[in-house]
Amino acid sequence: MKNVKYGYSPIIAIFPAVVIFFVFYVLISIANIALSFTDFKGTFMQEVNFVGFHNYRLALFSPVISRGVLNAIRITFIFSISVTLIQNFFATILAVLCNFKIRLRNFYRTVIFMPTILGTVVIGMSWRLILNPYSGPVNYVYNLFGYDSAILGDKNVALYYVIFVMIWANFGYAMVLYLSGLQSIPKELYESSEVEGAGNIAQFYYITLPLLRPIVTINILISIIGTLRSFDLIMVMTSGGPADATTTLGLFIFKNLNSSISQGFVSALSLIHFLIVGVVVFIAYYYLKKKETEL
Amino acid sequence: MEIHRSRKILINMFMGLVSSVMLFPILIIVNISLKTRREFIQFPLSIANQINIENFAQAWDKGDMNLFYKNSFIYTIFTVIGIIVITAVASYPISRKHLKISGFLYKLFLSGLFLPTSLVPLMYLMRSLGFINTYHGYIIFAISAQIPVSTFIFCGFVKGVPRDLDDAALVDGCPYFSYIFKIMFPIMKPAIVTVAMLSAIGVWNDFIGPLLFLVDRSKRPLTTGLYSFFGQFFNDWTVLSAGILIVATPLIVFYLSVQRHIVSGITSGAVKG
Repeated sequence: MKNVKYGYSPIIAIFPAVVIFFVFYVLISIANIALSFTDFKGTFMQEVNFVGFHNYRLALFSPVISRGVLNAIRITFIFSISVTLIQNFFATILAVLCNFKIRLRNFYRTVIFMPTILGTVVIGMSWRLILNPYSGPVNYVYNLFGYDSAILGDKNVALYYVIFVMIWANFGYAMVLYLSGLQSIPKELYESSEVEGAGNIAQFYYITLPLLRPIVTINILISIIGTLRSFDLIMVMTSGGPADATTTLGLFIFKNLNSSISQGFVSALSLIHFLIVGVVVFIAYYYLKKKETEL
Repeated sequence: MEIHRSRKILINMFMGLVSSVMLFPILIIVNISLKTRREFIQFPLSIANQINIENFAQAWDKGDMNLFYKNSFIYTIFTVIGIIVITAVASYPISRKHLKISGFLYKLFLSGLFLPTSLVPLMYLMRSLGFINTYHGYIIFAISAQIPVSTFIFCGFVKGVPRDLDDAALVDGCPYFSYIFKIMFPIMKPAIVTVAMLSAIGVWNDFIGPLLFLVDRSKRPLTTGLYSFFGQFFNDWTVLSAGILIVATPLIVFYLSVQRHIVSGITSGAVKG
């Protein structure tokens, strides 16, 4: 291990980072896999038994318990797919518009990017007030048009509002990434295409979109990973309710952290969650890479 | 890109619409926070007819904002210092390949970006280390959460610093650590600023971590403090809005003052990856 030139110094330099990383990532991940096959109750004072795939069977195939888990998986996918698609669609268009030489573009960018730093609690709380069904401004406007809704309290629509707020909070980040991609496209391409008579729309299809491909890949992967895993904004806005209508898998795990079944069961859920994220990201990555090379 | 005048107007209209959707929630909250309770109930959407700071005073007092501000500052400052010292020092031998396992370590740290959060063992670990409801416990947890991103940023930066400098210093007999602290750190300043900003925003806004590990009221930061404040005063809209603004204002001021750095800092990691 000792370095010829520097002795033990390099080892001392990496030591704190390695120790913290080993404990908080490696050890914990291994422990999670191991615990998912046991009936661990949160303490080693009680007997811990090896139960094989029991926790996984319970989570995915048992008649009662699996209902909540599968429902959470379904909601996770609806949430993740809608946010990823809508967010990237809007972010691309807005980035292109923001890239034109208009006077206010820096102002637009500043405003649209702002939620990225506001944090989930400020965002979630603000929208919870605004969407409040009793005296919230949104419902007040609905009432003026003779429409009444429980908004976040209505289990049929609550998820759509949460999706909207998630997009509101995150598409500025995506837009700025697209903008940086746009700015790396050589201007000569647009100039020469203009000489040949291409309009703005044609330029978008034949120059901008193909050259933006790598950024599209990055952005979509970031959105997928973020939406499949995060649950803090939903926790602030609805705590997963009403009637679990906005409980994604991440939130389901968080809320059942002290599950009466066992903590081993929760560990199994975490691993299922990880596998879902891993498989989806893997498929998306190879699909997007293939698309990139086709062009 | 150049564009026709008529199209410019259309674009401005569309962007103006989007910007107002972005600003709308903040303006509504500001408006509510300035009203008296009575005015709000009678005219929820009207513009506040006078500037009334009573709500802010009440939110600050009842919400224990002094305490939560103090806690948030403690967590943020110590985590930022910790993460910079630990990962900047580690990134030097890693990106210079001073160890046989340097390449492996780099990939290992990066894998942390994708590893699942294993809440059960994490909870057990924090409890058995006595880290629950302590400043140092949460700070160590927060540092661990920032390791992958900051190693990534620092290593990327150090790779761009010419090696000639290292060799010259070695010939002069400069000790390893004084080289890192006295020569590398000043050179790494742009990367340090980026990491400081990213991790500060991350810790300041962290919600799930404090919700799990800082249960005790006296240890709560602003995020969970505000969250619990909501539970207590869920009918007192004008005070709640003031509470939200008390928490949001430093973030908005910080953002507007160093906006360019934040935007480029937050996006730099993603694009290089």
